[in-house]
Amino acid sequence: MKDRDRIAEDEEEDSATIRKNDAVSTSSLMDFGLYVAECMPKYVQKVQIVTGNELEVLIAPDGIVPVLQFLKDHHQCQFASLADIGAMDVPSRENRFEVIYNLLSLRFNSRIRVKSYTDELTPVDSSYEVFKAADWYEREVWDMYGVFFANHPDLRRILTDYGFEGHPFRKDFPLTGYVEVRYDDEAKRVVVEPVELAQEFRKFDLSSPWETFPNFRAVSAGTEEDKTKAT
Amino acid sequence: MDKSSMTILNEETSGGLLINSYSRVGFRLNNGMMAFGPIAIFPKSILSWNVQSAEDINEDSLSLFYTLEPKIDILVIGIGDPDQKVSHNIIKYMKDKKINLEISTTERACATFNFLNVEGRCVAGALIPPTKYRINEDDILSTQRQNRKLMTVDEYQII
Repeated sequence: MKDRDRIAEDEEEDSATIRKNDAVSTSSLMDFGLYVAECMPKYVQKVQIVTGNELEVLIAPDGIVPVLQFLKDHHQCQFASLADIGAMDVPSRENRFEVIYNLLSLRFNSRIRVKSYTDELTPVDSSYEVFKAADWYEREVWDMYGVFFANHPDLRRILTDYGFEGHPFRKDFPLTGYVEVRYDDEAKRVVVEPVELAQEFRKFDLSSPWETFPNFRAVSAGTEEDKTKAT
Repeated sequence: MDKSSMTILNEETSGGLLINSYSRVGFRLNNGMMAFGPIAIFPKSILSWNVQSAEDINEDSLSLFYTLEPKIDILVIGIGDPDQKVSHNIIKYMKDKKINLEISTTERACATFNFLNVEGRCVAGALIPPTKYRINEDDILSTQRQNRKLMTVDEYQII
């Protein structure tokens, strides 16, 4: 047992597959996050660093357009590229949807994540005026989650079929969906019917009796440093 | 030797009706027909639709679409201009009748009807001509060419 532990430690030191987080870059990232919080005190609620090197800024929903405009235009930020807009559904919360904007600064080679929240009925301002790329990303979030974006030039479905009802990425939408399509030979057309599974839906329990990542025993999942600003 | 061949979908009428172009006045179809005013268009046929504007779209004016056999998969409604208002209870009403709706401006509704029809789905279109739309140089030139054609060869039917 002891030998095995020693070998594992040596491997950890030599192995290149484990990313080591540089304390200096982490602290400078946190400094920048606090700077953003100081510049936009009205909207920024929390700043955190996730998984060692990803900066996240949590803001109130009416501050989405001002904060994104600030991050895009400010000389020290210059996050001119919108990489992605996504959303997350946590049904237990009052504001069940989190809207997540991923920005990239080409000038400073860094990324930042802006997160906000909303519920099923409250619309969120569209960031189309700030980033043209937001057009299709916001259509995707509308289609998949049902988050309405106000002042969007063309908010309609983008991934689901034309007559599709429902928002598939919500946690209460089943994995198999509600309807299935098949070609009906008698009617000579594609018909839409409620979904019928030939066998019961199988849910696999994927936990094994053996430890899956023995090299990572020391590292806890998703280490974060939280520094909440006093509101 | 195998030759390459090209077919322009809009010029084949066997696959179904396609809308070639639209204007303030009406719609031009790929079978050479020109339709004036709001239309109710089906995979292989077209009718004139009796509505004045998007506000007139209600259960009565949509009654044709749900009484048809075979039942249509999806009804594409073109409301004309983007700022037109449509009453929201028609969505629920058509859902009760088990017909899927796709409501948008007429510009987009024409394109949606076209590619749903080419895919072979049972689609119907209820389209109102728009009063405001963007045109580009290509549109202007093709319209001029069209008009010159109208003057020389008189083979277009007008309903």
